[in-house]
Amino acid sequence: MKVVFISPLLAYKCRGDNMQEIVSKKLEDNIKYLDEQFTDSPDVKRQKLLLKDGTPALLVYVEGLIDTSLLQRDILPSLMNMESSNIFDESLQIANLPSANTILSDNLKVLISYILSGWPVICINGFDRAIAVNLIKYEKRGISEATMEKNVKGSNEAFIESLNTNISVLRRSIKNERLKFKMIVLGDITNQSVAIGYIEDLANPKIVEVLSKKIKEIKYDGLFDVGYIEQLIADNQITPFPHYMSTERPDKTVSCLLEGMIAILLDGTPSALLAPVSFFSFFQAPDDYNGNWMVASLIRLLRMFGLIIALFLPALYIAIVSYHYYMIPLNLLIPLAESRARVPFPPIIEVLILETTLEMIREATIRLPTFIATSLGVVGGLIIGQAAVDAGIVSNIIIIVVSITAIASFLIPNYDMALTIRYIRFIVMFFAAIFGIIGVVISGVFLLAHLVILESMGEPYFKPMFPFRLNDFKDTLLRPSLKALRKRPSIAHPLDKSRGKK
Amino acid sequence: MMNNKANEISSGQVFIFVVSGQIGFGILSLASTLAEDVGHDGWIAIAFAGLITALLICMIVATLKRFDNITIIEINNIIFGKYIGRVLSLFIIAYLTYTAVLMMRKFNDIIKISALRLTPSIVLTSFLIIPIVYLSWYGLKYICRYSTLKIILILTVVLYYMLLLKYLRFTFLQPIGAAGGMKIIKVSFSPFTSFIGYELLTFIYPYIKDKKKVLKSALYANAFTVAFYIITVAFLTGFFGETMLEQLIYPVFSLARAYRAPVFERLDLFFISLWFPIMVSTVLVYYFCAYNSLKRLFNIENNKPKSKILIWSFTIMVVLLSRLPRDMIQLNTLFDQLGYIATVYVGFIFICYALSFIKRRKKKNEKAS
Repeated sequence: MKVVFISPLLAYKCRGDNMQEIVSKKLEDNIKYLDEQFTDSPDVKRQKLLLKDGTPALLVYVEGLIDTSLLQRDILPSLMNMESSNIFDESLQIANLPSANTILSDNLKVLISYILSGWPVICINGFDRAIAVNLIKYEKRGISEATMEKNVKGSNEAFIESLNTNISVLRRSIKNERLKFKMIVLGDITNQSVAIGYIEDLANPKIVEVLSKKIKEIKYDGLFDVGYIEQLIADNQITPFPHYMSTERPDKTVSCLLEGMIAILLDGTPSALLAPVSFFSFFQAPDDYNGNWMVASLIRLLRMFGLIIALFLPALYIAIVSYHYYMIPLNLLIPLAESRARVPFPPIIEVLILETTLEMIREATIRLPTFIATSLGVVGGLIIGQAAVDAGIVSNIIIIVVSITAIASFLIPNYDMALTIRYIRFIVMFFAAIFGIIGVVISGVFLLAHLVILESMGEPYFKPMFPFRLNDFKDTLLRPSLKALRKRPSIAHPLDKSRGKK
Repeated sequence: MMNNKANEISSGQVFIFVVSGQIGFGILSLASTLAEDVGHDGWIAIAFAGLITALLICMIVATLKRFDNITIIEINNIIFGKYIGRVLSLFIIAYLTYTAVLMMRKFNDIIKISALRLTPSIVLTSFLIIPIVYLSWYGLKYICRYSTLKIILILTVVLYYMLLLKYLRFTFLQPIGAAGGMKIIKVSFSPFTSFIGYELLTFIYPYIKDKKKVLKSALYANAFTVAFYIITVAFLTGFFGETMLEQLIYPVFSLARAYRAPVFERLDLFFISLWFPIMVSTVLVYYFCAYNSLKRLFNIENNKPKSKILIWSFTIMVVLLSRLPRDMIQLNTLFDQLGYIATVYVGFIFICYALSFIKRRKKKNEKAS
């Protein structure tokens, strides 16, 4: 683990009350104030020391957030070998300490927030300013492999919980000074940093402004995932669809930044939130762009086909078997009728039994350890399915229908969207049971109506399709060759529309 | 959500809007009515009717241009004064509601015939109206976005005709013009009623962003409708022949049953299902115009709670009124009369146009004195 020098803390503002506590020239007053603030805080260490000329000083830090050995080895010896007047130059506002990152402040509230973020603070008797030194170092996970969004080719890095590391990962990919991060502090109690990343001269400044304003207006005690931000700034609250895309992949984030989108990173969460996005971007995987465009186009089409299957197949089964059995080809009708003859339930109950079982297996395997989850899959998939047919609870065909639906729903690359599609499938099934094929069609119409009214950051959610934009539409159902994708998608209204100069 | 931006549309969306108003119910039975009147020359009558409609569209847009940025509701107030104007506006809204109600009923009946014979009508209508109410609540922009689907579906329907191309007999269409020129022109009024929908322009004019291109978009939309009608009627005549066509109620749906798919055998329900979203958007534009005109009449365009009450009561009214026609025969009679009422309305717009000159002159005189 190394010491991270990039600091989001510069954005720290004094939150809460307006009373400004000023650093007193008398050290005793400062000690008294800090003691009051840090009662019952065993991890906040307050160390008194004497400088070379006998001036008393106070060192305050949080154990576990700072690099103690560095403090011991470099800061303390040089501090104790200095005269008080040498330590900082009042006129130049420079602290004369062997550290790469120091801050001078006279506001005790600000200093406290620095202390709590891993900056040791030094107060010296006779001076109305204190020095904060950046020595942040805490235990964190190393950069690991992406687990939710797997990829065949390309980078396999994933974001981690530390905001500094995530920013440095992005900076490493985009070595350009135009990559900017706006820092905002969120969480009334937790004081978390949020970074709004964008590429200057590319991202539309209006969208950046609207988004940062929206995020600044969030009032909540603590945010534990970017999903909190997503929900709190959503344009339309009554919808199952995700408004913004959360991803754990830095490469995806980078490619979206290059399209003029905006990435929101939150301290403590291993994912980024991308905005504005369209419905179709949830069905694109980074792998689509890594290989041959013809193959990728076929896979895109397969995914869209999967979407339709995942939404409508069980509903169509219910509608056709309950109301319009004459639509089934005769050769198929006989085995279906034989199989259905043993089942005492109407089709909707039959489908619901299996779908609910499947959803339960799915939900159970998420939280179980991997080795149990595998065996659960075998038990659920093979044994229950076959036994249910043998016992005459469900018919043969329905097992196929439900399995194909499940497989189709696994094609959706984004987890949030996959959940939404599962949810909608049940609604469509419900209406199919009441109104047959009309239920399916009108549910589809309503779904489309809903998608059409949704907006992500004021941009139509269903954009390249309705309203139709040919240039963007090329890259939705199919994936044209990179040479044909010379223009950036218009969803984020990028300032520079062409990619790469000819 | 309820701001005026949600209603703002571009001139491209005007195209979609006009097509939405026009194509929907009339075409379903148009071919058989025409076969009764002019035999196999129906498509020529349609071309005539399309020309008349194009002229009417030009005149409507000219009228609207004289009064910048207002709908017919405000035009009434200006020309006829506050009280008479409001009464006239109520009549116009009643016409829109009546059309929406009849279409809703017909939609419901078509579904009952083709798929759900036993479902209670009131339940079915309440279900069908959900997406209509939902989109009307959010505004015109979203309605036009949704109706883009309609254009795609219509093109799909034309593609479906291609499947049946080999059964087409061109001898059914020959000799061209056998019915006689005068007769064709005379009956061109009957397809003319199938073109209604363009008059809705008078209700959405202020919401269009670039008004210079309105006429062009509306005429293109009309041309699209004419092209689709001609293709459909000529195809149906060539497929069934005029004697057979006369006996069919909805020849478009009968055509669906004609095709035998290799494995699935019967795809007709899928084809008929294609028409449901098309019909939804036709009811939708009438419903929206009626609802929005009511909002403008009561001046509650930006009042959310009152609009909510209005849309609920209006929806319940439409659902209940759609139960009034006794049976399909009465419904069809009422539907045929719809064309006359629409024509009366178009005539009314021209009276407004004429009166606007008098009004303007009066104002000028007042200013001069």
